[in-house]
Amino acid sequence: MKNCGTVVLLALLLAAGCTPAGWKDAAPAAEAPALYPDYTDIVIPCNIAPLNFNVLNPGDACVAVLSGTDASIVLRGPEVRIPEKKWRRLLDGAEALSVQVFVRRDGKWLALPDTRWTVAEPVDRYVTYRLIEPGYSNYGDLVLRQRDLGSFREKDLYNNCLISGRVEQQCINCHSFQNYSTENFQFHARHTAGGTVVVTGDRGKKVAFKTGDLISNAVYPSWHPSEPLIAYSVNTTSQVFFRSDRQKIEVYDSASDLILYDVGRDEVSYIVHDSLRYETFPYWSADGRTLYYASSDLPSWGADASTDPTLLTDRIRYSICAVDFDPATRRFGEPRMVFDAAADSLSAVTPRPSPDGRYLLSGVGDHGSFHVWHEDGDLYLTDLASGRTRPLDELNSSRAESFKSWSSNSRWIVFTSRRDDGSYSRLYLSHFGADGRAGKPFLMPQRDPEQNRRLFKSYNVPEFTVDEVRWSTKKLEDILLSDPVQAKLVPER
Amino acid sequence: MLKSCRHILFSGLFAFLFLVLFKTGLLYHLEQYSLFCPKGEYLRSFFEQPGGVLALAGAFLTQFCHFPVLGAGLFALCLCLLTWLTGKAFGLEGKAAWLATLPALFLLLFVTRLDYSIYLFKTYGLLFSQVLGYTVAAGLVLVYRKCFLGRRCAPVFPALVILAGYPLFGSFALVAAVLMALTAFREGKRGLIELAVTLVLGAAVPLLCGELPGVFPRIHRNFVYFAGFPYKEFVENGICQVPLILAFAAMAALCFLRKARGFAVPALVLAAVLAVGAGSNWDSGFRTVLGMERAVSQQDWDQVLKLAQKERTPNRIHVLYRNIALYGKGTLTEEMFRYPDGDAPLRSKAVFPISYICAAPVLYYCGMPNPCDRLAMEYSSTFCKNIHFYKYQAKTALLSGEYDLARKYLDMVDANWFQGKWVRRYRAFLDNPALMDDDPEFQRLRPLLQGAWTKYDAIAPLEEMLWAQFADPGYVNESVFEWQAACYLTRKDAERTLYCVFNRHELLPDAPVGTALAEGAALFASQSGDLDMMRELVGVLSSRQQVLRAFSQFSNALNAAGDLRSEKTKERFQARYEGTYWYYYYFMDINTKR
Repeated sequence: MKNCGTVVLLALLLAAGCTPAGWKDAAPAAEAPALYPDYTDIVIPCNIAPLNFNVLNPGDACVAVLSGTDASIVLRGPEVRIPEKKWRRLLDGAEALSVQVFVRRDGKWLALPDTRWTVAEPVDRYVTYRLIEPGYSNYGDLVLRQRDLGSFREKDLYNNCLISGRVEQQCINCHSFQNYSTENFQFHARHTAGGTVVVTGDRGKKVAFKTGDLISNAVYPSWHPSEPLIAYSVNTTSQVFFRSDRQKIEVYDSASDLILYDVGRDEVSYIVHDSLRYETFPYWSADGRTLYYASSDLPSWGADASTDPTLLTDRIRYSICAVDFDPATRRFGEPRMVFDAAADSLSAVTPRPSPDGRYLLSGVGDHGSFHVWHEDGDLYLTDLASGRTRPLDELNSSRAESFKSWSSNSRWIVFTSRRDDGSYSRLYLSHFGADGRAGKPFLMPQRDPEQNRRLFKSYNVPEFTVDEVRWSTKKLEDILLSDPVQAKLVPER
Repeated sequence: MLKSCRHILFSGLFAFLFLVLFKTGLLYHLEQYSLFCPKGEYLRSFFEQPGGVLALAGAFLTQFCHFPVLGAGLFALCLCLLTWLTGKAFGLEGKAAWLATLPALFLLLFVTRLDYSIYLFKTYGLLFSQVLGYTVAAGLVLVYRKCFLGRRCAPVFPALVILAGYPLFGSFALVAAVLMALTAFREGKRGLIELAVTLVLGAAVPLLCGELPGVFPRIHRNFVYFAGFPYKEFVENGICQVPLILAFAAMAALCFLRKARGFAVPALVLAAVLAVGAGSNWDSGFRTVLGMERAVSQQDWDQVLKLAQKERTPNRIHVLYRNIALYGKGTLTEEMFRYPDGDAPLRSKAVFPISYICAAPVLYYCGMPNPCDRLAMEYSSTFCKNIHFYKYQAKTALLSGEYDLARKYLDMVDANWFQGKWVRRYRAFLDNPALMDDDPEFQRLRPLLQGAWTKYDAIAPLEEMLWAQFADPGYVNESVFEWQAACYLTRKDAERTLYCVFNRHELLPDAPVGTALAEGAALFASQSGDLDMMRELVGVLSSRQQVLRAFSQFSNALNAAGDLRSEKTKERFQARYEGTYWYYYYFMDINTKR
């Protein structure tokens, strides 16, 4: 009797897990498949995790068939979760996958037009990002997290719960890796046990940068691709809140400079120190011979300055400049303009040159520097050979696109976008072709297709790496709890 | 049977009645300031720290407090279970069984003495998690007593409890192990071994969990021995933790109890009952805040006003909720001074601005969606994420036309039990935004968005934010006019009050002037000494002759009054003029910057 019950239970479980019958005789329908996330007709990396999705087309039963070169998988919907092993086999050697959705409506099966997942070059295996509520000045649990893009495995690089106490809070931000490797990396902590964690191989230290006449601690970082050097901006940053705009906040600088930090000597020196301009968001070219950055004239405050300079934030417009660097002498050349966005009444920030040196991605908005809060925030692409810049419309939406990173093979872009709901940034991946065109962006796959809808945190600063961080959160905590090394300001080179 | 269960019934019934009679507002609040979603990042966070299971179970059970009687019943049932387990675990029989009610009574006290600190909670499910923790501890002691005590393998059990229990129940596993060791110690059966095992493992396991990478990535080293307890709470208000310590002390003492003597048992139980009575939070202002908060969330304006009328020494939260209700009923400038006014301090050792308590509803109903969203976001990232803030964020998103965002918040609220009705009401607007045109709530609020406000939001105390919003006295529409006038009257701003009265009269000569505003205008015009203005005002207030007559009488009384600062004068005027703007103006000195 007991065995009988077990058999019935197993049969029920099997029945629940099986695909419903009849879908093979489905009649073709013209209705387009509606998937969440929208994975219709996209280019995917050959080493990506399963692209689980929900079928949104109405129906009382649903089946999805994924077909590769030699194999296919039949899965019951509407929530389609693809087994990882079968997914690997399907992807193995395939140039494209076909995904067809069948829905049963009023007792009849309908075969919706199939959608194609073109399989392309591999993407760097890991992406590290920060998860944060899109708040303004307070923060709760923050985490720097590394995700294995080939699976759904995630690992905290560091989270502030380790140090934030009953009252004391700790902000963490601006993680940066040297040349796509986790061998050397850094991130900042502010407030409790604040400082910059700089890890080089098996050694780590906490560095305090505020020294001499530097206007702030080190802020936006970029590791030199080969030398033990990090370029930073130092910024005096403020924020104002809009009372009734769709844009809720403006984050702006009232002063900023660029500095170079010598990791071995703990010395900092100015790269650009022009009191009549703002310079921020430095980023090295892949060969380490050019430093790109955003630069703006000081807005002309005029008579209004005496009243409230924050009223003039919409006059701050940045352009992308570059300065040559000689790694042997560690000397910088003269700044030159790369993308004169301000001339077009735009503001371009966060330059990201592609590792192959062909292109430069920038975040562009109507004004200002913190476009994650600007609905008009878009990505622009500059062809460094021709000097021409265009909005990267293949990736842009009507809402904010902001942080971005190139994969080490220059074939993939990961970027943050608020297109889903206007408030919470999500990670999108897009293939970047040799022809300089980007493919349709798609949400970073998750085990639970609804994950992004249920997550009340924003992703920001996605950074690709080719390997996994070896350091544990506890070891990084130890570094943060240690005494900082005070960086010394040395004369400009 | 009934006789042996009397103490269990007593603890349950006492808790149930106490909560139902005095703490329904608190229970409802705890439900609204909680969140339960068995998926995603929310669920994951509970398993990244020891004791997360209790917090998760607590958050689940807290949902039932949506119906406070149900929540009280559930809490009482938990206390019954705890009492029963405590009696069995410590072998309390006969008269001594009544002592098993002590931990339950202290845990009841933990809940009933909660004050404004509840707005600062960073821990989920506190209402139930502590009771569940002690229940688990008592249950484990019972298993130990029945199955292990006196046997050779006895020391294994506390070791297992610490090893397996600490990740699940946090330090309640340590509490259980300590109680087992004390029980064994009393029985003299290798008690020292149990004690040694408990001490060594109890010290080592949390420490290892805190140190080993990857075990609990979010555990804070300083608090590894307090996991599962509300160690992040009551920072300036440590006395709130005392009942939890008393509950442990009572259990520890019960380990050593051999025989109940004389009047000791009834005396101890009576003392605990009295402690619940005396130690509970009886602050009527706090109770009124909770009652108003609930009524505001249900847009039951009559109930808000009923509570406002009852509260004789209101704080600014009461006043702001009252104003929201009056605005909801369209009688803000008519009636706002008919209710008691004041700025009584919050009775709590936890010091924080009132915006932590009432910013979201106040800013929302004043038509300030961005500031409402901002502060709701700030507070829900600093403290527990909760239904209350998500509801206001959903509504502000609807008000701002951000429907995708509203859907996200509504989905999260909907993941919680008993929120279906509320969610259905607002989800209807997502499917058909045109329905908002005919909805009374949005009809009241949309006109408030039409003001040509300054671009930037003030970072200031709550009432200063309202002031900044309505400081420009230019006429926009009747809805904005109501709030403008209310702000100017509250701040005794003669110039703006008169400007907005005359300006509106010019634009809308037939528009009625509310009593409170008429009283204010009459007073300020009189103070100006400008006869032309006074004559003009008489024209504006032609339909409010009784206000002018009353003001004339008031002026005479004022002239004859002598020292306005004396208490006697205040009492005399209070008797005759309380409920008028004039009394507010001369005798109320309000601090709006809390």
